[in-house]
Amino acid sequence: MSARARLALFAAGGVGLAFLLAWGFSGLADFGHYPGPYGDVLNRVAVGQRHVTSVVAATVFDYRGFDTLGEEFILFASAAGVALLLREARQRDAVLRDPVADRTVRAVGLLLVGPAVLLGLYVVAFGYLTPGGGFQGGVLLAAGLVLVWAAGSYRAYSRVSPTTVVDLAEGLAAAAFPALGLALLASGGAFLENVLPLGTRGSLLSGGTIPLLNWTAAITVTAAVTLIVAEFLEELAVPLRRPTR
Amino acid sequence: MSYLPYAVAGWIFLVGLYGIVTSRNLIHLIVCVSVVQSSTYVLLLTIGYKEHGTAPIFKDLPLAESQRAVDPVVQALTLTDIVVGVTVLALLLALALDAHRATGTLDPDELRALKG
Amino acid sequence: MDWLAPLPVAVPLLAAAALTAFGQFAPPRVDDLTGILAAAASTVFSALLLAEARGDLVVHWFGGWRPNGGVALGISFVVDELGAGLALLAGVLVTASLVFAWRYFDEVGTLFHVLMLLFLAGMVGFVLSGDLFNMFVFFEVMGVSAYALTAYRIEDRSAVQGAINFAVVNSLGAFLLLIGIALLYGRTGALNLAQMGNAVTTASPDGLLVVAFALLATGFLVKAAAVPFHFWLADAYAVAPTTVCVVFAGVMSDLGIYALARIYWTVFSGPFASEAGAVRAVLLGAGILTALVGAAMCFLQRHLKRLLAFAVISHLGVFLSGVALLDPRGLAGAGAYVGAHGLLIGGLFISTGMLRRRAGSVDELALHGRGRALPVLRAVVLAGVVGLTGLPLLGVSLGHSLLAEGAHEAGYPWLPAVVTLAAAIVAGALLRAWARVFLGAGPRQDALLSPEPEEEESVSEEPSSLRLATATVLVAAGLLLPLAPGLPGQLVQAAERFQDRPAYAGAVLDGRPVPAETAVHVQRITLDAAFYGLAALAGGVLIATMALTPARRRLSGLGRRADPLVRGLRAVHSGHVGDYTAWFVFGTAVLGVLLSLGVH
Repeated sequence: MSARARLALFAAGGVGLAFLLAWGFSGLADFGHYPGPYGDVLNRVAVGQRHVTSVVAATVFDYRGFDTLGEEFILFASAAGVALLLREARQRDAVLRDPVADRTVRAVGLLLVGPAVLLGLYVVAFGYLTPGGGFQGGVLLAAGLVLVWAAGSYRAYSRVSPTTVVDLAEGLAAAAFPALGLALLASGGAFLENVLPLGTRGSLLSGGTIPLLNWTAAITVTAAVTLIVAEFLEELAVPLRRPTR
Repeated sequence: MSYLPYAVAGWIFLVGLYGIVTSRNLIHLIVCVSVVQSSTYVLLLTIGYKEHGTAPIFKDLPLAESQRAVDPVVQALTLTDIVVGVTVLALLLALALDAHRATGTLDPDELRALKG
Repeated sequence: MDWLAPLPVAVPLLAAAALTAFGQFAPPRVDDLTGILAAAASTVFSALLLAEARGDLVVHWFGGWRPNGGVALGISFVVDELGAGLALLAGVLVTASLVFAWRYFDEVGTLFHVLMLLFLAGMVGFVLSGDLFNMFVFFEVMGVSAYALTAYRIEDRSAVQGAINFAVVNSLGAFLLLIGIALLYGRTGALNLAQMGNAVTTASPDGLLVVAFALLATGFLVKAAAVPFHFWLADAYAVAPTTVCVVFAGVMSDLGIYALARIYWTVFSGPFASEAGAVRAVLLGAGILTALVGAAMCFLQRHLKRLLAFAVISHLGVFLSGVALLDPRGLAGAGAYVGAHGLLIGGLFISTGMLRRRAGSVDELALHGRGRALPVLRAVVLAGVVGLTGLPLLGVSLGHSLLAEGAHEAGYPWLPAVVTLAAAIVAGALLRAWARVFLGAGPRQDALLSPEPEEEESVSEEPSSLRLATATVLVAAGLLLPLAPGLPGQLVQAAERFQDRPAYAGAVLDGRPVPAETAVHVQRITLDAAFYGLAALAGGVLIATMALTPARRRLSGLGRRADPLVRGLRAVHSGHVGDYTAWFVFGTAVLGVLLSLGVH
């Protein structure tokens, strides 16, 4: 199809779609007048039922924990997919060629790695009490590791996050979620039922299985994002094999 | 004005689609997919907002005011949505890299291997 | 026994994670074995669930969050017979394809098996879930694994392009799902299907409900490759490795149709009850269009996998038509059809893979006569093709029969004739290819067929007996499926339960057992259906013969008149993702506008 035909088709469809969306959205409540009930019920009961102060975290890791299981495995699938698409196609004997030359960049970058990792750990650790959580903190941790590359070289980065260890960490942390669920199922409860002691509200030891799932999510996310970023970074350092035909 | 956020969501959705249809570069196209996705974040979060509301974090907010907090469910949904978006983006970019390696181009018009 | 419900999903996920962690330390055959065992375990659990779901719904609330006063706090799996049946089919096909792939994917270590297990978990989760957002999550698990698996042969430029088209279009479909979910959530404040259904059951179909249904339906129809959202399927199925194609073609796209039926009956059947005729008409139109366009494009192909892909599209149109009738027999017919079709098409894709390994090509013209030395394969492929067309009592005949009954009940008596026409054209294409490859019939050149770039493979080996056995087993199972005792009655009863919204809501939210069904008498095959099946077969043989013999020259007049249509169809299937997106937007708008006009 020519570019003009394509655009005409899109224009016709786009106008129709715009009207449909407008018509559909007009049936929604006014902005600022959320009608409930799901969110209101959770806000009312979550803190009492689970002793954590962040209802979002309680929703993510407990009430709708099964969604989070799926979400973790989407990330897992993406890391595996990226590895499949990029890792296997590289020249095995190419020379890594990217160390940072400027001393200021190197110094500032390396100085920042510590605080970045610390921030990430903090966001994960208090994720079920204040805004944050395993996913958010996990990305920060991975970013801290990427700083090692940005401030140093790919070789330093791959020494900090060797594929064997990262695969192991990712697999174990991801496995922990369904394993925990199955264990709880086997002990007579529901899949992922929160049966651990709930602790005191507002303290780090609260929420039963929530901190556990929070940390396994953080490890999975860190590992998966590190893997994905590493595959792309390796592009710069080690070019993909040219096709043989 | 109360429909403005919804209109923004709709606009972002359509503009992203326009970007995909007229794109001449795979990376641009993939980022446009991401733009289309971000319209869904806006829509979800808009639905859960409460006027004069506050975050559903009860560290400092007394439990008696629990109904002032905005909807936590859409926030959980948006979190999942963002993770999904990032993962699909990563995969698509890897595919774009492979496409460039195999054909030497990133122009969708040049990728003509599958026709008829 | 509701603890069974999470198992078919949790076991493959656990196995995939374990493979990633430990597979790097284990010897190579361990991955293959783990994959096969995990897939087999999932299959067994799905079979147990199917038995458990007989006559009732199996409901499992994750985290133990039972609903409180009609408000669902957590996520549930709600297993009905049709869903469990699809989960079982997915398990069988993934297990079979992993067996078929023994030793085939060693170069990538554990990655292939990890992705296949995630793909299986995604499909099963999607079909068993009772929560709309959870369905979206598993839709994406299924999607991401599928995109990566499609591009497995990264050296092949068409594989990468196919994967990009697949990923972009399916992602756009998923975004429509999200908007639909957001709209429904904004209206009902719920994500649980039963709760949503209860909340809107007495509502009048206003703009929000109609648009939500249109968007959700379109999102699922993208997965189900309805026209004009079907372009990605031909691209993806043509280039994905055979092992993966077996699962794609056998079950993945059917899931979109299942989901459409599920959300219609559980959420929208209440408010749309008085306008059901309009919904029926629009969806039926989409189904028929898909069946015919798929059949026509199928006939124009010479790349065997692309040919099979368009055959799948045509069949998907038939399934959609069955569901669109909004009638228990139509739904049951679609179910019977899906089961037999999944197994048969799986066998055919495996056979194509074997031809490729043996002769280095999947081009019908290049393979001219190369199959003459493969008698067993020749028989298996013929059996598969005939089973797919409608030999009475075998293969898809039960599906045709039930669908015809449903069509009469719903007031569309001409539907079986249209389905037969599409089936005949597809059969013609398949038989033509079979005859050319396995009998050496017909000319070595054919200007009508698409000029496809060739993918050569320099391997040349005898078809392994393991692979041949897998193909034979699948085709045999597909042929014999309709003969299972009591199957027709069970399918119709399952369909009636599927369409019973109050019973579903009662079971999910209040734990009430589903009321017992009265026994229903269903004929295994009716006279009409037998006639239609044989007509499709005869039509197929006629078309194939005309395509292969000099009698074609007499038809060239007809051919010349059809030429602009052929050229138009070809131009539209351009492989360009921008084109596909434009069609996606256009199709969404048309579907939405038609539904609005009909329902509002």
